[in-house]
Amino acid sequence: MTKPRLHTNAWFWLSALTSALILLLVLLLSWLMLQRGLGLFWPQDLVQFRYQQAGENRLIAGEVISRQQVSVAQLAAAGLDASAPAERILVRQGYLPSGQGGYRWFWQAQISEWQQPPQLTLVREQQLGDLYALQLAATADGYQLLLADGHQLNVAANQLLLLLPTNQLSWPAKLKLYLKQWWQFLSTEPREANSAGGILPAIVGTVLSVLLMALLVAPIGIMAGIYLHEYARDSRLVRLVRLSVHNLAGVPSVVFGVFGLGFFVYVLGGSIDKLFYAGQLPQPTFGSPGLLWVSLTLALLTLPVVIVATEEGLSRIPQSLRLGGYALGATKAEVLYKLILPQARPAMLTGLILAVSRAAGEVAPLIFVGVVKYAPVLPVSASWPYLHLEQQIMTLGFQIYDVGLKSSNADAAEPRVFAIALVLLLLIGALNLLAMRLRRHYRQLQQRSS
Amino acid sequence: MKISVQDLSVRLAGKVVLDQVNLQIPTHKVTALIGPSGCGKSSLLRSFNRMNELLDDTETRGEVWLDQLNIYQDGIDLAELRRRVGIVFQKPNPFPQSVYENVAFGLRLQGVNSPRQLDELVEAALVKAALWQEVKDRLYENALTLSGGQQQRLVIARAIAIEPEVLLLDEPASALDPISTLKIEELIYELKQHYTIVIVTHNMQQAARVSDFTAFMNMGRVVEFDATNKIFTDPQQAQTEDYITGRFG
Repeated sequence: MTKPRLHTNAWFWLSALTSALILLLVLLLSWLMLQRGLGLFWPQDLVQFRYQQAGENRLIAGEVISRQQVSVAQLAAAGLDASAPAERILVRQGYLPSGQGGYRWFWQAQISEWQQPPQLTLVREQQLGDLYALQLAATADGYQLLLADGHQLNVAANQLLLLLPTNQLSWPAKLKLYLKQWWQFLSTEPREANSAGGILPAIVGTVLSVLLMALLVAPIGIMAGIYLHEYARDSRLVRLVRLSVHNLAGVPSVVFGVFGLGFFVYVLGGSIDKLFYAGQLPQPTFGSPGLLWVSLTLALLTLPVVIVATEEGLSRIPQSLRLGGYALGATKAEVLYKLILPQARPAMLTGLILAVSRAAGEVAPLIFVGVVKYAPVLPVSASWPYLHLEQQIMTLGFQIYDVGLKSSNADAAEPRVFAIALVLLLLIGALNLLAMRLRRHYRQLQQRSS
Repeated sequence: MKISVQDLSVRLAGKVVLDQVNLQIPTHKVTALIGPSGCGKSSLLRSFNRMNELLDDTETRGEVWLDQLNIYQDGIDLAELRRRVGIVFQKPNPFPQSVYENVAFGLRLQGVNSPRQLDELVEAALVKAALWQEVKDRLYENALTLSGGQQQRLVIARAIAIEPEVLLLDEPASALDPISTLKIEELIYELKQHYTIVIVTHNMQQAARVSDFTAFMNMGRVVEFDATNKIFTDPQQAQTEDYITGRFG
């Protein structure tokens, strides 16, 4: 009697299938981010129509954000004829003095006089945000706008960010505008409680905190890894240290945030204030959440990654290399620094890349130690001391959370969330690319000569 | 006598590998250590420059004298000892660097830094190791691109570049093809003019060809030590005769 045999073929297909699934997920993620994120700044056609429902008869002007098919049941619930066009349209109306602006769904069936007039203009004002002007007249110091609800509004030229008759634009002009809007997104501060404007402070905050973290974690993590692997004898204490390092990797990141607040901010920061900034107390300088503590918390969070990568890199180096060094009269330190470390450098860099990628996306622990919703002043300046370690910062990860979940305007927030996520993704990708190039550079250096 | 071993016992991880060994290694001669696997010949070889200690859990008793220096006394400079007593292992282990840097490595450690001096010494070492003709045009290529035999001669060149007094060879040809083996044997013959050489080998013919003296070891002891032609033609111990005639081991 033959036992049922396990076929290699089945394993092959199963493993191939899972790999393909992972690839598919990655592609899907990138595609979704690109599709949703890139669409945010494409100038949409502006529309104008008359809307009649339940005695209301209004002129509406704005941008179509999305269209939705509606079921018969929903139509009936809205008191509409089920045979009418079963679609509703989300329109962004911008600011209206009557307070009826903002985003709103309109039933397709109730819409009439649909048109795209060329004189309809998108106006972006510093305080009010976006407005859709039916007509535009120049005045002494700006423009007088006629809005869809019949109000007249005066806008000063120096408060004007954008004046755009979108419907008159040609395709290349739209592209130019699109790129310009992206540039503004990347290079300006947020407005209107993060629901509009740019994300420059968040980009700068993310990059700075992560770079500072790399600067902190690289020497400590690599030294610790070298000590554990090269010098420490296999004692109970060393095993305990190694166990703690591995356990540290499993601690939920928000716990690090609480620890950062309790130890870094209050104890360390408080002591620094007492020692060096006593004159300014009780106003805290370092004793409150800030960039330095964000970076330190991230460094602590990613320390195990770097230590483990360093140890693994060192253990991959063949014993014969060490023996060869000793055989030529090298001391332990000479073997380590001239033979072992150059070989282990790519592995250490890999650890650092992983650490950076993880740190750039952290949100939860950082809320405790210095990342805030709004901090438009950059932590870097052109004059001494250039870097303001005590300052609170914005980060991309927290922006996603804040815009996505805390925004008062969910319809406006959604495409923005995707755009910020796209920027974060590209940023991490760029950092990884940089590190990968560095790693390849070291490898080539190694192969060429010493 | 270059090296004098007195009552040397070595335990590795609690197991006795050398038991009260006494042996005299003559200056500027080739001494072969032969014996069955696990007889302790490699451990004895490595005890001549204290390489055993790089393995965990080694315990050594007794004395090894290098000229007038007991190398197991306290406060010995291990790096200096290993500069004087070089070692080449069974498997070629060039550093993953250029051919030039491999040979220059030991020299740099000794403080030789001027490029001209380095060039001269590297060339001299490669010439002595009979490798110069083959690598002079590829000095800056990675040493790992050389063939196995070339790599082993490079490792020997690396070892003799720093002018050791003793060269320990731990089965230097056992991982190589016959032609490379022949080259290594010729090299050993050349090198004994200047160096005291101790070679561990499994190959009886090789021991007979290259060595002046032979020590036959078994179970952590030196069974018989004498001039090579004496050992191979007229061994005093029955065990030795059994081993070299192939009846045991």
